[in-house]
Amino acid sequence: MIKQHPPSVVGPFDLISTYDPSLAWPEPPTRETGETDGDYKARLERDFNPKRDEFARQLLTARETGNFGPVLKDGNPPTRFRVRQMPPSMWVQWDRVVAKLSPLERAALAIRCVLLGAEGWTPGFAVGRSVEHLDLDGHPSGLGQVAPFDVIASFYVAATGEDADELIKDLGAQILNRRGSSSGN
Amino acid sequence: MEGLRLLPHFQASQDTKHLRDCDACKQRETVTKRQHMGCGYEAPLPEALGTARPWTPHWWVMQGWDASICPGYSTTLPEVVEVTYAYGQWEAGTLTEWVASMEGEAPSRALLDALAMRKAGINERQHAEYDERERARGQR
Repeated sequence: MIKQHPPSVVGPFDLISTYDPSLAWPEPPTRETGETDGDYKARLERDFNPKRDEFARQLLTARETGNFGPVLKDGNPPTRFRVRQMPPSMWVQWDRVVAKLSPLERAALAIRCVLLGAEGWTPGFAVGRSVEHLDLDGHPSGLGQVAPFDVIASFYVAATGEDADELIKDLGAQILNRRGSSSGN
Repeated sequence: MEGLRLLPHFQASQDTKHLRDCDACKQRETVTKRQHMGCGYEAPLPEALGTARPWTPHWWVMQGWDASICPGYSTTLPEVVEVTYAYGQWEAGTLTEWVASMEGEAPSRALLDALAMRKAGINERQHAEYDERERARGQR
């Protein structure tokens, strides 16, 4: 049983990436000799896609209940990213600050706003001293203190190129989905 | 967080004891039956088998509303339990202090939304009790 901070709307909690290698995603079947593109695609749609969709649903349940046991492979525990709640003062500024950023940059900034630490991540990883977030002109953006850019660089040490981008987008989406609608003021 | 709105009705209900322990329910009922009950641990019911009918409070039914998931699942999720504690603090005016004691900072937007939903559930339950009393009075 993996012990982790369960999902919370009050205090810190753990995020586990959709791409974590410890998750027991079903493997796509191997292509048979002589199988055409169309046949292979049809077989994927018929046999593999429903299993993949069902696993995605089980992963959502694990995120809701905080019990990841049923979706993990035996053995390696997943990497757990410990995050705090995004303070209301940051949400108030968020839309203005990210207006000119790409989806990847938004996700990276969301991570910098809330990341407290990570277990099972790159060796020796620690979230360094917070820094004032600056806008594209180098002025304080209004978000206040965020984690240094090094935390994002660590994703490109742990994974490469597109994999790191996808991981950042996935964690960013999990953070931004928890926005809620209240102003928080 | 449908569970936050269902919780007051679910707690007041007399006919839901069989839904209150998910582990026991999983052992007792077949997968198909739990799919019909809207179990949060199971895949949605295949179309050919019809539509899931989770337990829904009578008052919701009267409004034409449906629960989308079994309340045994939705009312026991960690965040629902957490908000139930937070609600008492909110009413007492000590929410900020309580959040700080839980390693949080200012109350999050998600928490404020969830508290509003919990309050809506309590209001709905009060309406339901009022309606039940009025109906009983009319029948006398």
